[in-house]
Amino acid sequence: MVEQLIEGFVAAFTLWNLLFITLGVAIGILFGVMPGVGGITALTLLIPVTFYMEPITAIAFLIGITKGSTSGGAIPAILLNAPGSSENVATARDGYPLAQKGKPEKAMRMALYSSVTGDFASDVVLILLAAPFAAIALKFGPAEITAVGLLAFTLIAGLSSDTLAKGLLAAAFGVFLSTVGLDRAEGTQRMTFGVIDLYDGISLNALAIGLLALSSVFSQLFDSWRTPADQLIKPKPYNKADQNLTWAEFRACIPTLFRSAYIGTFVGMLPGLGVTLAAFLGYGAAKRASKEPEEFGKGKLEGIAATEAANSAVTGANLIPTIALGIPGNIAAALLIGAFLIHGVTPGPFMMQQHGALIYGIFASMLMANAVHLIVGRAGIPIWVLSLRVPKPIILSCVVVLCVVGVYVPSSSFFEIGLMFAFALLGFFMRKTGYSLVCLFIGFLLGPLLEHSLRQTIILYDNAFVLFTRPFALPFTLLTLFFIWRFGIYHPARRRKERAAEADLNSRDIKK
Amino acid sequence: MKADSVTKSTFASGVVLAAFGAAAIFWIIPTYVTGANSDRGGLTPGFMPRVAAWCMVVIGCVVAMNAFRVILGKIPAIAEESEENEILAFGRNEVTDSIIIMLLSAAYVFGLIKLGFLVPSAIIIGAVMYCTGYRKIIPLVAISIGFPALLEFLLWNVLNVPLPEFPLINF
Repeated sequence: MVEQLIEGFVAAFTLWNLLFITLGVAIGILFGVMPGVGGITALTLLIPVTFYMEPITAIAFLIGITKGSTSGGAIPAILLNAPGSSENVATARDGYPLAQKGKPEKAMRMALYSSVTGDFASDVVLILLAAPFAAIALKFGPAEITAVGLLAFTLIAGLSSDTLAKGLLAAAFGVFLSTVGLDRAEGTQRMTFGVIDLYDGISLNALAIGLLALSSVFSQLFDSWRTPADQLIKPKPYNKADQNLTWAEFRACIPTLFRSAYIGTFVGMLPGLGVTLAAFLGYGAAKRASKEPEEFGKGKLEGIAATEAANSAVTGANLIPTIALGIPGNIAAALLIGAFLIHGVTPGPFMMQQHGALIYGIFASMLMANAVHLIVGRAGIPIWVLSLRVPKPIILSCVVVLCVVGVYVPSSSFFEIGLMFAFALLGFFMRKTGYSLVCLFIGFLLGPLLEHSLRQTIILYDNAFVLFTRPFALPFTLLTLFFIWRFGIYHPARRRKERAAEADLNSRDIKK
Repeated sequence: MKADSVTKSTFASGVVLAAFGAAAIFWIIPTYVTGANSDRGGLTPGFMPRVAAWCMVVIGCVVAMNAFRVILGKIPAIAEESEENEILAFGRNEVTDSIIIMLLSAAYVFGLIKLGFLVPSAIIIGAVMYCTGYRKIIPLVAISIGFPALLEFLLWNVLNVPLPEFPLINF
């Protein structure tokens, strides 16, 4: 393997390759910065451009875009609390408060270093495991995928919502929305109401941009409209001395970085679970492991490190099922499969045998892209910080238009723009009433996978109790039940007890 | 007061979502899912929508009942925090804001269809900037017109991607 990797480096280390990796990372960051536009749009727009390139340069360029867009999405999350894409939602939780404390550069540096670390760790795992993983993944049947999906819903609902029931309700609504469109098994219409734009289902792009980006913009716009200028919480002034990320601060985050990198890598290996899930699992794990969990959400560096390392770690690991089985782990991997096919390479178990030199060249390019990502990303940070000087009304109003462009460009559909505004309104309601946007989004994203695996499970085994009898599914099912008890029964009961004790104490004080 | 408004809105949303789930089970799915009523061991195209709808009914009732018990004072409320550090409250202001979003969205989409990208985008940017307290008129006008024009120019000339056009103007 080492020999093949060295040969891969020899093939990949060319001026053209380096140039296109750099260009890819820069474009990825640029598209990632625009809320709602993101790396997927960049990939979609630029895959045709790669038609004229050498296969190794083409794939390296596209991988550069994917890597850049993940860390690029963290920039608006940190500076504006408007995540570039769903995987950066958790970054905003600590990144934005830290920027409000006058330390935006520190937050962005932490995000970049974490992103590169997570990327690097998952690339190493990809190189080591691409072939052996094929054997393990083949043992994951529909029952196991169903069990993992149910565990994912419970965990996300428990972690991102204050009450499990509200989180699960949002997730169920998301799953329901995901069933709109043509039935994948039979091709029959489901709740399309005769609207042709709904035949392919509700647009993921419109839902993500409306629910996550535009609703945040509306919420911020109304807050600044209603709050008198003198009562607005103004960010602390930018102080150059506060911006450095010290070695001690970075070292304190190293365990979090590696934990999140492993979580992201594991999630990335399993097709369909996606980047957002990895980001939230990484964040949740860091919060649980921390000695100061109450500091999370208030500008804690570990929160940024956990999210960015986890979401970036998915990028490399997602290529494991793509290369080993030809199954894309997410939309970006699916687009990469398209690019592979354009260049005459069919992803799947035979890919390593037939195009070994190309695959190891791509692995080498991925490692090179991490170094380029660090340099390009680091150079860009002061430029992005300048954007903080631009008044918020200008940025937010321009983001509204960018969101419209982000939805219209891939679809050329006014219906999808209307849909995006409808989801923005739904997101606004949910933000104000304490429902988890992420749960709805994850429900929508994982809905088709869950439906497919659940239907297969019932067809194959006649019932769903197989989740308790299959050895690979049982641990996931038991964990799901454990988390339902913990987040749904134990936690609320304990919190209500604490609240009652507090109220009791207060009433005694008043009597005295 | 604000916690009350959140509890009441939680109760209302629980009822609404449970009712929506029930409507889906008894009306939307049987009517608008082709083949949902055929008898194939339940694994029809309506299978997953029904599973999701039943979940909404059950969990919606749980959410509504818990909120109702809090309103009646039988159990103390759990202090909820927003996912993104925002203030949780749903009162008259939020209803007004929602109506504004609806009107703004409808006007913008109508404008895009009838006038193309440039004009309604310029109006939206200008209006939003003005309403949120930006009062420097020259930059306001320059950004309102310049930003959408730049976007349209870049997308059309660099990426060859068309945006909705004004019926009489072809860039």
